[in-house]
Amino acid sequence: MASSPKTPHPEGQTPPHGPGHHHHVISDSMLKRTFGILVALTVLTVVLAVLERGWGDFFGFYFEAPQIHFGPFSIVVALGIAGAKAYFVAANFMGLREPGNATNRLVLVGSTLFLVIFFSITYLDVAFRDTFFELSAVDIDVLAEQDAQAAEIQTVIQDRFDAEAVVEEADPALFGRTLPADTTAAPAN
Amino acid sequence: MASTTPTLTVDDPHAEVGHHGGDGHHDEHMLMGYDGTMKPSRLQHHFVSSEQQFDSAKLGMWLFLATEILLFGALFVAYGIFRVLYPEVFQEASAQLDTMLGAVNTLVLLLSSLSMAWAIRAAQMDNRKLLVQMLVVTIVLASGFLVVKYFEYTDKFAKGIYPGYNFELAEGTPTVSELSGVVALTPQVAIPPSHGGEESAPPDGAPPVVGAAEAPPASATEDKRASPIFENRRAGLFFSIYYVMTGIHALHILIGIIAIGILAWKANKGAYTSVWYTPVENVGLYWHVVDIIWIFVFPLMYLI
Repeated sequence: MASSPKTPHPEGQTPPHGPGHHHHVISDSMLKRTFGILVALTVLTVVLAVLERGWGDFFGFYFEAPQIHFGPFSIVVALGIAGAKAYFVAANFMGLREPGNATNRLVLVGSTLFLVIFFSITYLDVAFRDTFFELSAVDIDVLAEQDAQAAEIQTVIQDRFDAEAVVEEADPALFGRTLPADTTAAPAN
Repeated sequence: MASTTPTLTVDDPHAEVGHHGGDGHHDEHMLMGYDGTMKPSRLQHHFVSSEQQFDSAKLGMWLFLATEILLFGALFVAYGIFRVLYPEVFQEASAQLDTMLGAVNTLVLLLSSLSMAWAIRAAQMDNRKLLVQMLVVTIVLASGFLVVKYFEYTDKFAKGIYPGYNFELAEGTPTVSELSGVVALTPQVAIPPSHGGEESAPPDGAPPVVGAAEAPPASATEDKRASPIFENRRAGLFFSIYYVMTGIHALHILIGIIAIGILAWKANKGAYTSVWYTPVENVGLYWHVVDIIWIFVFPLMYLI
């Protein structure tokens, strides 16, 4: 029975089969090109790090470099370059660019997205500890006002805080007998 | 029938039934390979086509790789948390790591990814000799990575750099466990060592005073330990994360070496053809993820 490429497959969607459809063979020039890009990005990131630090140590050979301060950009740029390298490895070496890999792309992007969420919310938590004075629903000015009032009242009634003894000396004759363990009232005869 | 254009053909469920081989391959489903000869497809009965079987295996591997990303992701988040809390500890400590060795390791792994991808290309083109050669090259490069790691670790052990509370602090430096009071999440400022060799007892509950015990002069180990990181009582924090991350990564490299070794041995016996090379593809995917993880470990540990 001759094959008919136009006959819909009963079991669901499959990519078009038949004599015209072939697996891809990875192209060697693409592999070499990708490797070149990866090496270049690695060199770039090392150079940027050396510039950031102002010095480098090439296997015992110490050298000074002009120091350029990137500030907070250094980590952004470093991670950006790393992300670019990961992209090239994933797209070219791992075949994510080839047709039929949509689900695999989804798996990679999904897990990476989860990581981004995991990290960013944790960062928001940890980086802002001890930054805010109070976290409450009451307005800060209202709280400040209450604090001021409390301080005022405190100064007014401060003298009343001096404690007065409420409990007095025990009365030995209260119950008509000597109290037990009353060593002062038991002189040796 | 050899086709004139050397391409892979995918079996069509509506095609003529047949494609069964002779010469010991009776009742086995055969497909035309890259080099034009018929090869066993190893198609399982529960799959519709060889392509579907291959794609299913790949998806399974990708799902496992997602868990690997989550595993190392958790370690990266731990790194991030402690870096945010103690930035100066991290900056001082990362100066103890050799940037150039790390860069060499990065290039070695990138090269190994290239050779692995080339091995897959060789399998797709029915080039058995090249496939085995590329797998062996990958193993050699990966072992080179482990050798460099060995030198890095032994160099650190010689300086007394161990993870966590095993980190050998300089004499007189108060440890974290000697802290009194709640100092848990406050950033700690490293006090530079006082030169002149004064002995001072740390007062109770006060910020850490560096006890600058006079080090024996011209001692090789003490020269290596000249950095202020050795007086920083939280130094073990950075190195815990460093050893665990690079250690688990090195373990993954070792597992990869074993897997690729098995592949090379089987490939040498002719187990992989352009019609069926799924294990090569899947181990290749694993290897590239190990490389990607190192691509992120390198800047975070060595460069910043």
